[in-house]
Amino acid sequence: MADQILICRCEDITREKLMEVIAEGYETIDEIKRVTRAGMGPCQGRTCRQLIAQELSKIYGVPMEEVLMPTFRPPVKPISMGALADAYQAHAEGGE
Amino acid sequence: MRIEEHPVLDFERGEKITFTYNGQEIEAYPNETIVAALHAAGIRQLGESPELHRPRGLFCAIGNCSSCFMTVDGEPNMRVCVIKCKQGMVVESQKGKGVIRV
Amino acid sequence: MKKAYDTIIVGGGIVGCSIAFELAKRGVKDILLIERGYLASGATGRCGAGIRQQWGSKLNATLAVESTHIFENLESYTGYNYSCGLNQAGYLLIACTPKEWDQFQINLDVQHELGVESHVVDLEKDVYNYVPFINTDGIYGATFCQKDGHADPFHCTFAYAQGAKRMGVEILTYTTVESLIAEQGKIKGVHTSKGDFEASRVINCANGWAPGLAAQVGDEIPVFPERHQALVTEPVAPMGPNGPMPMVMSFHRRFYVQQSPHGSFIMGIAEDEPISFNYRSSWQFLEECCSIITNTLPALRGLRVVRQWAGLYDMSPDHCPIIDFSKNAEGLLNICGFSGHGFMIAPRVAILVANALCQQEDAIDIHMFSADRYRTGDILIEPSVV
Repeated sequence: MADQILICRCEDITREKLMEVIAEGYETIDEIKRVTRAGMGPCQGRTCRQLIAQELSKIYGVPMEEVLMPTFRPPVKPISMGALADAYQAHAEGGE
Repeated sequence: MRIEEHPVLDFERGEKITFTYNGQEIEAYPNETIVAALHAAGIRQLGESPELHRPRGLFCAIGNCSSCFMTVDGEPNMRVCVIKCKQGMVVESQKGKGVIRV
Repeated sequence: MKKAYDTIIVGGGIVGCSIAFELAKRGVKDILLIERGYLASGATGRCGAGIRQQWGSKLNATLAVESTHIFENLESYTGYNYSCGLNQAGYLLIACTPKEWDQFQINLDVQHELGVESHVVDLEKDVYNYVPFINTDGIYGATFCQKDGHADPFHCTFAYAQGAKRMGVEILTYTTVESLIAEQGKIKGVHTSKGDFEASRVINCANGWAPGLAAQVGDEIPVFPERHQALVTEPVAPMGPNGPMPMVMSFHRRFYVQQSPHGSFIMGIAEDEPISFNYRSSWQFLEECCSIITNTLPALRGLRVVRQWAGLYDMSPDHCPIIDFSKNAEGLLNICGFSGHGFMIAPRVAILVANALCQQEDAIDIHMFSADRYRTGDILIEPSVV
């Protein structure tokens, strides 16, 4: 039952799946993300990143601060292409 | 169910408005979020998880995750936990990924 | 981990991993692959992962066609337990100047000679059967090839790596090769952040870092790194006529955009970039990319961007890869310069390299990729790159 706990809600990755790929040799959040898609959904790991780190910290017996974090990239929140395109136009027309 | 009395806060609810959720008329107040109005109307399940199709309700409730995605006035993937109600809004639940209407 | 190996491969992207696989497949033992980050953390994992056969030069078209056949069966070819994500939704190439359109016609002939099923798309009616909401203003013509598409660069790299490991290849990640060790004109091994390893054969396929390593033994490889940025959106339902929207690409407008089967759109543009190892993101890219692409595809205005990133194109003077047997350190093979289309030709290039190293026949002459070509003038010309 505990294994069916969701780690990544955006991509429906269960704790069972996480343990499976760790057993296959994928050891870091970056690798786990790329082989399962955990952290690639609409929330970009805001929910699952720390949960995966917690599991890795337990498995490898290291404190959370020592778990390798993936790169944080913009944007901090999703933003529409239209808003960005309009901003470009505004700059091009001499706006701020 | 809404909080009617609060020891500290006075709720300025304003005049009642209505919007539709999957065709059903929902009563709401302009200062509350779509999901608050849905909860008050007894609607707790907001969608389904994308791959395993498990029922989804509120999770973060602050516009951070992806549990409350709905289509609002034709726009998909809207985080209704942070969107305020407006008179006549058309809110629809999503099955699968949101559809961009062309 | 041993102290000495037969072959050391520097770089764990698609090039390094596919070469490791092909060498092991031909019976080479004692191979060590060293990667500074996690596998595919370099250019491979940052690329658009497009795969197209619509090239202008016979050479690139051949490399791409033969690589596509391998991508089509990569899971069984390598014995991989996940999907490599190949999605052949097609590429719609749009020409935005008369000169471009003329070049496309010439390219079609080259492609047809190799059996590529590319064809002209009529802009009045037919184009909407491929991209229902495209804005045709300013477009002179378009061509389409259904077999073009994209794959998952991580799974493809992991597929080769797992296959290689099963055949005895050892892989060391999070380890940086700091320098090459050479003595009396021969390669002896590498010095890494985790110690020294000996080998009489070193394959240097470290993308932007390859020329720097090669220079240590006096090899001059004219390849320079250049940042390119990309972005990904939230997933939405398929927007193509029968599935995900196909890749839309323009050389003149310098953009590419495609929808993955998962629903997200991946896209990028070419910007004016200096030579650099810059992996950082810029807000200017986000704005310009969205502006350029929504101009041709206005329906995408409602899509939300969730992440942007950057990677390096390793640019060679003729935009074709360099495969160069070192004359200063015998046993060193320098491979780089894929100039933004390495992923899609890696499978065939790996076979070419492995055949050469194992003295096996290959229809392509590996020596045409030598760095000497810039001195002799036998450069490889490719008219169509983003």
